[in-house]
Amino acid sequence: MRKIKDLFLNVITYVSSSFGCLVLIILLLFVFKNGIRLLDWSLITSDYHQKTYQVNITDTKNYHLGDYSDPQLDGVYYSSVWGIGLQDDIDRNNEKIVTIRYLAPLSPFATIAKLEVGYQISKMTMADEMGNNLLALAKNGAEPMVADLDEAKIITDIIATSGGGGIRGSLLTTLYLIVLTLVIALPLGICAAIYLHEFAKQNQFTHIIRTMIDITTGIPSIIFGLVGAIVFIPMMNKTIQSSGGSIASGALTLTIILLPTIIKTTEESLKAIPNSYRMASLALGASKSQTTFKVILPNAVFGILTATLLSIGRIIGESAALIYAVGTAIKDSVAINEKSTSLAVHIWSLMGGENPNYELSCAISIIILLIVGLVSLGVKLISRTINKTEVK
Amino acid sequence: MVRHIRKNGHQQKTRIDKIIKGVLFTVTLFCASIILFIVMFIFIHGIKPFVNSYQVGEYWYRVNFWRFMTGTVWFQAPNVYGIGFIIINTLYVVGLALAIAAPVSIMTALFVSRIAPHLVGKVITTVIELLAAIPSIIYGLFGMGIVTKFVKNLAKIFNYQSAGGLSTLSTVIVLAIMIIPTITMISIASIKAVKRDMIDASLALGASPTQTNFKVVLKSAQSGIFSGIILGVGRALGEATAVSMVAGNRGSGPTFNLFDITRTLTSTMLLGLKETAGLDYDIRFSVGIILICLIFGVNFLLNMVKRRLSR
Repeated sequence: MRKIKDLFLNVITYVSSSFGCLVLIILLLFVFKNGIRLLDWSLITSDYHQKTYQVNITDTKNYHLGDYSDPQLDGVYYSSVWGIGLQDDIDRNNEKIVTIRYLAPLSPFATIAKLEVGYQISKMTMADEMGNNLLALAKNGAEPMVADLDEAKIITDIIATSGGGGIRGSLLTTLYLIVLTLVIALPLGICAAIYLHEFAKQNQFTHIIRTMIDITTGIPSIIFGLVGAIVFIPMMNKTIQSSGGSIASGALTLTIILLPTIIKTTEESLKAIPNSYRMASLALGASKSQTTFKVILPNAVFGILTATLLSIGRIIGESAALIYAVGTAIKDSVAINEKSTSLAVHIWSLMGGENPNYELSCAISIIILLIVGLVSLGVKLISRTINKTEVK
Repeated sequence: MVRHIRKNGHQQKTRIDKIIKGVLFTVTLFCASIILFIVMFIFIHGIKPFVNSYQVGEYWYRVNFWRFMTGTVWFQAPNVYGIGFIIINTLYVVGLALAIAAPVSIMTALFVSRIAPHLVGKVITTVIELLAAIPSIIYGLFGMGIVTKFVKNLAKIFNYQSAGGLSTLSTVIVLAIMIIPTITMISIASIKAVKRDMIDASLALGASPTQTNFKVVLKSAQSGIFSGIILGVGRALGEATAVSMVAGNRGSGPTFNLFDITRTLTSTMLLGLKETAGLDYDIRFSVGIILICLIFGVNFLLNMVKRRLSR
């Protein structure tokens, strides 16, 4: 009887533990299955917003047709008359498009219309020798478009768009936020940690200060977002002439979010430094501040590194606070005094509309997960290094 | 002469020490006072809707605080806002999430630290750490992509038409998944801190290992486990992004139907944010005040319970 009961209880623990693993596996499968298709270099380097070009090729004196050699690309329909290779494709919003895959160097599409490989053609109006109009649309595919091109002599109207759907702007914003926040938060946090551990007397007042910093950790990030919206946005509007949310106000908001973590982590590493170091330095005649900055701080470098990594992880994942303190408008040109989105808020914007864009969101999630994973790995490696040196 | 110079150098050193101490102290004081600033600014901004008048259309309105606290409808034009039902829904959702997360977390912690072979325990600990590191926006995405689909199909079995899976149940599941790592990690630490003597004594008295685990180890670690639960509840109450993505945005309530859409304090603050001025914007700060009060209140209550338990 007791054995059966024990077995039952044990099985419960097995099931519970497998729950966490199951969730992680499903989550990773979901994100990778949806996002892997979009994950390539062009996703990171291209703009989010498409640029539309409307051009024509009508001045017959400036170009010649008919003798461009075929590069023989797989899946590309080639018009040797115009020197252009087109391919059927699906864009990041899951719509059928026709992409330019090859342009002969002297093709009129390159020399006159100034289009580039990678642009998408959505519509072309052409005229053949007899003066009949031909209309080619992207939704009909690349093959009929090329067939029409082979007939045409002039093109009266081309509507083309540059790629779009990339995350260059958001990636850049995230980097700006990380650098700016760390530049402000690290010195403040380290100073506070040094004061609390090296200078402060252990009295009631210090205890209150510690408690207040602890309480700040428990405040949810959306509340920090509200503070950013009513304190930092007006402050930045006055000082750096931003209008509304900006990367600067976001960085200040992130600073107050991160300060408790940085203080805590740094203080932990200060605690690990043996007291004999301080004694030795003081005995040699160094002043308290010399000891602190020349002996204690260099020895706390691993702790500060851990704090930095943890902060980077938090900044990359932060969304609620930034929605209030920066805004949700996705931008391609990034400036410190303008609105923009970090990677996480980019996902929020993509999922918020009528048609949530799972594929792009998952692709961004893969990038976020990779960075977060690297950060956790870094923290683990550092703590292992510290443990090793301590044993010696 | 030599003595004089030394004395000077010493004085200079102590003066630099004093200056540096002063600077560090100021910085520390600033860091510590952030919490006061937060509460003060949000409070000042959040009471505006009840004190000031806002122009809506042709007339000027202010919000009635009593109706705000007890209301069963979020917004009625022009000036009636109510969050009574939202508070109830928030507590309901968080309570259910805790009811799922707490047992799972405690059992996982027990498995990792007492039952599992070393390697398996390490793997699961890593999994839990990874889950803790995943940002909430990705949990929200996961909730929209997987959990809501699952709930939608589940609702179909019960012949219930859910709003595309946006529901109380989805919110509960997502929240539970998000607080499991928090509770588990703290539980593991407190179970590992249980003294070896205690376990040996129990085994020597003839209890089986499993009986020891459940009756002695968990009992001794309960204070630490409870701290984990308090942290988990705090996180669940304040979680905004993921919850907003799966909750739907119910206009009135309260609702206790698992398959019905719901609304929490945080989702109220985050959703439908368009303008950056006016009554509809400022009222979100009032919701913020209530959220802070709720978190502090629940924390205080749970700490009371914890103290009573450990007595």
